[in-house]
Amino acid sequence: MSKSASLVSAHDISVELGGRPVLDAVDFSIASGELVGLLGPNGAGKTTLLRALAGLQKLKQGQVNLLGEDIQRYAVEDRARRLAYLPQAGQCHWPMPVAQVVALGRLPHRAPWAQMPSSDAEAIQRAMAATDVAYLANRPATELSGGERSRVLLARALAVESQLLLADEPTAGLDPAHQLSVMEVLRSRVQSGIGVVVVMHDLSLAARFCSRLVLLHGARVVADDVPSKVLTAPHLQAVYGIEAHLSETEQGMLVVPLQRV
Amino acid sequence: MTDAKTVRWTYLGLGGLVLLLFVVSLLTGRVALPLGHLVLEPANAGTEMVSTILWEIRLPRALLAILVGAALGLSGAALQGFLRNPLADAGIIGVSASASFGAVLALYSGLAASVALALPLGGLLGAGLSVALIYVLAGRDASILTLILAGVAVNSFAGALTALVLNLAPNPYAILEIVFWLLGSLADRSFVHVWLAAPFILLGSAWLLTTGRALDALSLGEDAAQSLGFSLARLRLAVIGGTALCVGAAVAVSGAIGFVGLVIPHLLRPLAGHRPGALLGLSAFGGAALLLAADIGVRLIPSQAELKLGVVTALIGGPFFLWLLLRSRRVAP
Repeated sequence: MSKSASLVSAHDISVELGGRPVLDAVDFSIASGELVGLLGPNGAGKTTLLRALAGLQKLKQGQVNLLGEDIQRYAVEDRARRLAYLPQAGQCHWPMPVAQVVALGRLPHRAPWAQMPSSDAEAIQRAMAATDVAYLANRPATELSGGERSRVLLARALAVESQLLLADEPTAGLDPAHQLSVMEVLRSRVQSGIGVVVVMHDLSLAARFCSRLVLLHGARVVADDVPSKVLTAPHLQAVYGIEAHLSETEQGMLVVPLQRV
Repeated sequence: MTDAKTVRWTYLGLGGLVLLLFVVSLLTGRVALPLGHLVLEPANAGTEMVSTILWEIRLPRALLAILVGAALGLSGAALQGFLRNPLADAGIIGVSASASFGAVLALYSGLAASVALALPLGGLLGAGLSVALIYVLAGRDASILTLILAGVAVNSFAGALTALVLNLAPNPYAILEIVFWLLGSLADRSFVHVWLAAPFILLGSAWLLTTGRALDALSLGEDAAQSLGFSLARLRLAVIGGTALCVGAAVAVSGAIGFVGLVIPHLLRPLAGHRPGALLGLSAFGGAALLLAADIGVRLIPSQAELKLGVVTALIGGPFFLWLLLRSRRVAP
């Protein structure tokens, strides 16, 4: 794989938090047109890896490259135009109208004192339509349900319209229909040429929508391959400590956890 | 967007209010000025006494009310946005208390009596030192919580030092002088005070006004703000440095005036669509209008000694703030 094809790549990165290794010599890479799922049990280092890929995490060792160049050498403004990061369980601290929250995604594209150009308004409309929150436009962001809020915040990240989207559990707390619609939105964005890294816990959803899965366990990458080669019985037992029903269907792979082992 | 329109109309309204109150402030005082003469023949508007009162007593007083009010309102809005807490103001990070201590020390040491500028310079120095101390205490990569805790520490220490000065004061008159100064007032100020405060307040305000977009982004949390292209270190420096310049200079010329920085952003937030960035400029205008009005008030309320401005803002601000809290609790339990 040529270096220029990768949007963001981590090379041999290690991270320690409070003296505890959270990532240990991890390699990762994603190219345009890929929807990569980050899987692993709680505390496996998924969020830390995602923050590292966003350039927000201090590394003990290794380097993260964005478009082939050290991410730490980017000016923060340039970095913000190239990648969007959706934090886990985010919230808005002020009761701003939802449309204003989504509009924050356009900040990286706007000069300090400039008025909002019409192209921005279109990007905001597109993002709100994609996550089905247009009807909430004038509601205060602090008065939404958990699922509505996470869709609004995903719309905010989509509104950046960057080449790379790093999303930490965008489907958590959503009803089944909205889980599917979020994954469909991510897939359609990927088909239009961007790269998406998404942290998730729903194994079937990950298997069906992601083109590649990366399985983290104990601060290391255990598997990095197409879904059918990552979600295997030995991997699920070793990493999650579960036995699962695995089946290939016309709609893709299904993974149903059955019992702990 | 309707939001942008609301903000524009609020600016117009507040701007008009400031202008109106500015004129009223020039015409309010113990001596009634012949308004007709001033308007019709400004060149020879009566006696030398009239022009002295107008240009050397009332004009600096009105200008200071605008400067100090804008500084307090703006820094309150910036701190509330930065700390993501509607109860924050310059008091919370210890800048006001430290500036007061610096000025009190100048009064106590007698420097203020011999050197006219010692009092305001003491205030500025106190504010600057407190900011340096907060930086040392909280470190460069401080979280917002660490910053608040460091501010609380600095705040109480500066308060303790002020109490120590009062404790050691040689005579009751010295105590009286210090306490009166601490109450906060704009009476008997001159253009020297305006020239002293204006550069710092204008510089600090400009610095604070650059933080609008970053404060908007910060509503989504620190990680999201960074990923949107804003450096937290730069933002922290701007908010704390700008506040020190604004509040340090304001306290230095007027003493401690509370509640403006707390109430004004709270009051104007809905008109700014709850966006911390849009609230900054509005709060500067709102603060200026409130302080002009309060300073007119202290001259109109009949009392033996003129009421102190800081006392009036606290007397109105305290219950008003309680009422706001009660009302917001009723709306959103």
